[in-house]
Amino acid sequence: MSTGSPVNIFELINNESRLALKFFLTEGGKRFYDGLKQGELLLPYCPRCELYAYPPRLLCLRCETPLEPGSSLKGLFRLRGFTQQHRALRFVRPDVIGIVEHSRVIGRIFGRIDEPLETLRLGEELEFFPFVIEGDLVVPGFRKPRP
Amino acid sequence: MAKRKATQQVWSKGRPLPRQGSTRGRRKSHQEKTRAKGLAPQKAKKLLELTRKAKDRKKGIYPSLPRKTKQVEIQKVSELETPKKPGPQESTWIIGTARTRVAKHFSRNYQEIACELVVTAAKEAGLRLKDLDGLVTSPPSLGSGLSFMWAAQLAQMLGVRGRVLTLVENGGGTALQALRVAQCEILAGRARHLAVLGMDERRYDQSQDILATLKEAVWSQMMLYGPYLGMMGIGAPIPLYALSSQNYMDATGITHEELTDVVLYQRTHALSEPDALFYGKPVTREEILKSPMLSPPLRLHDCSTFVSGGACVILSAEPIGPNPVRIAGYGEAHRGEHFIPAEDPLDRFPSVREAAEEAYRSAGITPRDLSVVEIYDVFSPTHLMILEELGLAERGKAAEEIRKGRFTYGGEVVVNPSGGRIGFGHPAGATPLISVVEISRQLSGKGGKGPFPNSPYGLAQAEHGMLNGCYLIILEAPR
Repeated sequence: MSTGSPVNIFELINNESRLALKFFLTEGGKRFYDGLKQGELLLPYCPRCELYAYPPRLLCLRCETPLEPGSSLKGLFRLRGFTQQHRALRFVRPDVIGIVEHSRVIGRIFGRIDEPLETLRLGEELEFFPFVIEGDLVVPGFRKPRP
Repeated sequence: MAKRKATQQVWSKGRPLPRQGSTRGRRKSHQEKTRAKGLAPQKAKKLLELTRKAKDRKKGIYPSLPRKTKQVEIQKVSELETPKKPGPQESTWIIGTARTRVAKHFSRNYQEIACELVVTAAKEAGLRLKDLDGLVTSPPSLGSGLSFMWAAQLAQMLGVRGRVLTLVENGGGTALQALRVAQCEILAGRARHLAVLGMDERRYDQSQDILATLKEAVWSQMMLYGPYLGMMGIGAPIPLYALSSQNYMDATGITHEELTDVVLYQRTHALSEPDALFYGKPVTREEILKSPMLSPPLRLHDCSTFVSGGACVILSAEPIGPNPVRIAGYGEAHRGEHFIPAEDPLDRFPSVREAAEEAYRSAGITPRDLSVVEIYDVFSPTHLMILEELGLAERGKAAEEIRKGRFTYGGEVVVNPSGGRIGFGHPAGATPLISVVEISRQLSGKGGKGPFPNSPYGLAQAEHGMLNGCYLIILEAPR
């Protein structure tokens, strides 16, 4: 760099991610990420099937009804897969990433699992929390329910 | 004043000029404008001519210039040759094949390699480039931006004219999709001979600018995985396949030891394949088990290696050339999912089963009729899952069949004589055509491997995403 100042690679990746999100997100997607910043899981909702959809989409997969903005999703999630990454732009080992299911959601939610890999078992119940990458950059996080 | 009056009379050839102001209400003629400027008649004529030429130039009407080059004669539609159009076909044939040796990067420019592949395959088919009715191609490099008008550039470099010029792209299924497009053109009677090219030049890590590379990587991830998965920092889809592998192993009880058997027999097949990445490079069970864990449960040796490579086949309406292989069946299925399925099971690949059912039905065969198979097995657990979905093994039993030697030389069906993705290497944009070349060569007796079971049928399979969609082709050896 001409200034001679060191470049924070993670800051660069995060800034570029913010730009990319602006380009790629639909209205439902923006609401999803805005909700995460407020600590909520806001997914589109099908009033006919009474189910949420992930990832955010326009129509219900089951009945093709246009989806509506849903209220904050509550309850426990079931762990359906977890792993680590050897090389990645973020969430490199020992971070754990994985997918969870919810009885009221069509789709599997991908997120950061905030538990050590060796303590996790397929099928166990997890709760949602907003995982803050940096500032306003937030993704879904899941962890074992706190008492 | 008298002089002026006399001049006016000359200009008007004796007729008295209208009084000044009498032109009100109509446009002045050029002559009148010229007169107003006080120009002589010759000069006015010249100016008129120049003005007309300037207007003509603006309109694009140029006077014809003597041409130094010979003009190309444009044939009338009625004079065009028509024998190339063969009419609707019942069968298509692979009559020429070519492929590169895979490597991390091509040793030469990718355009030269592309041209060389087409020329080599056409030569094997006994055709000249002018005999081709067109090209169907993958981008030269998946996801790199090199695809901008690539098909037209390729046609220009080769001088191929015709009725077909198409570029297709859909991840790992690209090259087989390209073959299908070409097949449809031939079956529809629009073309007789077509070249199908699949290429993948891995150009990442060639940049010296790490910051630019990182920025590009962020956008590539968002494009490939979408804005939800894309935020998890995933590069190659290894962690995604790790999740399906974990579910498969959990459901069937398959162990890491059994995955090692998959890697060992695939690497053994690659030992005798000169085009493969691991040609002549054996591996031991201990090396596989001790290789670094990339994404649990997937170790380094469980994963295919991304490399550069290319392949070309010449597809024809006629069984010409020394070793024509018939396309006997085709199947394709897409689940409306992208990587992590919303509703499909995580431990199975329904798209493979659906595509296989269609392909077997269209060829009029069962899985037991296959003698040689090339599958899109980018990870060792995926290898087992695909074999089971193809109906070559019962659910959870593929590993056991491998241990019994059923899928290697001397067994009931030889799976991946090339070494597969794990042993051969994986240039994703070209992999399906590399598989088709392998099957064609083995069925026509040019492959030099074996022994193969005495059946004329072989199968090549490709997919996109995480087996969210599947393409399957069944080939038949000449009888």
